[in-house]
Amino acid sequence: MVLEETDNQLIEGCRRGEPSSFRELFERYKDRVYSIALRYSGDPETAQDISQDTFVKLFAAIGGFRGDSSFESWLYRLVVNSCFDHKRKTRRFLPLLAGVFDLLRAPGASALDQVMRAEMSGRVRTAVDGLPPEQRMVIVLRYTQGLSYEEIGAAMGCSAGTVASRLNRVHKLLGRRLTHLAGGSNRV
Amino acid sequence: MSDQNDNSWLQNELERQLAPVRAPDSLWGRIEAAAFNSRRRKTNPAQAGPQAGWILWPAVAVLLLSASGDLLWELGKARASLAPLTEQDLEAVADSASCDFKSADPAQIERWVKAKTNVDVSLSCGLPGNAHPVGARLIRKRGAVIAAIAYRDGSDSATLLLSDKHSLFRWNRDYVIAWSGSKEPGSKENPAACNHCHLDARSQL
Repeated sequence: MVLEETDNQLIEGCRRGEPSSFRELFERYKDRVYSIALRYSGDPETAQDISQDTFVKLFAAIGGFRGDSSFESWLYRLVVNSCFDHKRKTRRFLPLLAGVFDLLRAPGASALDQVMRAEMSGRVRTAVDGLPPEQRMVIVLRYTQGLSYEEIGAAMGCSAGTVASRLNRVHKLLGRRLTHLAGGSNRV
Repeated sequence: MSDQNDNSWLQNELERQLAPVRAPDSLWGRIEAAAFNSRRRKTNPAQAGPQAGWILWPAVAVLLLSASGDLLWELGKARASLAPLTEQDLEAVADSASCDFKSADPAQIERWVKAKTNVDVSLSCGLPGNAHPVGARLIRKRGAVIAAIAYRDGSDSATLLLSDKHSLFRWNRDYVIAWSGSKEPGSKENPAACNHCHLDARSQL
């Protein structure tokens, strides 16, 4: 177990109730927490709710953090639990539409390619949204944060082998569902 | 390995679709507000949210049922003690000749009523016109002791009934008053009993 000195100092500051330490810790980890929440839920408002829950729990429980595991691992566990606890809302399509507009504005590709790519993005996103919560979380932690199997296992309370197995299963599942899009992807 | 090659497009797509994003600037404000509310709930259990409210509601309901039951019981007892008088006894008590204690002195009647019923009544304030007390008697009905104070106003008579044990609202009144007379209580010809209540005992009505 190794804590960065700066993280240690911030955690100690939080234990002493220093507002600046809370704020600094938040600034340091907010993007990671929000990214996981957004990619898991697919909805910005829900992602903010999950992030809020996560940080409130973190600040409330940080006095009991003993450093047995890394702070990041502890934080990821909090986010994962908040995601699982949160009731899933209807996904909004604004992020997807924004992605389509970005693609249409991108230079160097034909209009047909852009539309095909936008179509594929929507299908992939829909396929990920349709996964069971634990499989979806494995995919999110792997591709949003680039976590190793061991780190994902620590966050989700399972072994690295279980993570590898789930990830393999999800890849095959998504591959089967989206194989018809592979040709379109190669064209882009 | 073949699977990996076959799925490379998928992995690339997942990396692109699930790429990290920046948290919105409004997030810190939400967290501050939530943390503040959480602290306030901890320091003030009265604002502990809907769950605590649901716990308190049954207790409130029991108290309300108890209070309403007590009120109904008191209403029933008061009606039982006074209502029969209006039908059976008022004719008799209106006759000053049947008084247990005869006196035209309000102070003496006050002391007599106090001694017999423990009711503090003020009759010494003076009454308009020729109205004056002539005596009092006790009536016992269903465990209640009622003082009947007889008045005369010229050729008319009136009776004031007082009870201390079975008043409708015993927590803020010492007694209740009923009236019986030869004329309607509100009539101009016989205001004695009405004037007594409304001039003297207004604060207790």
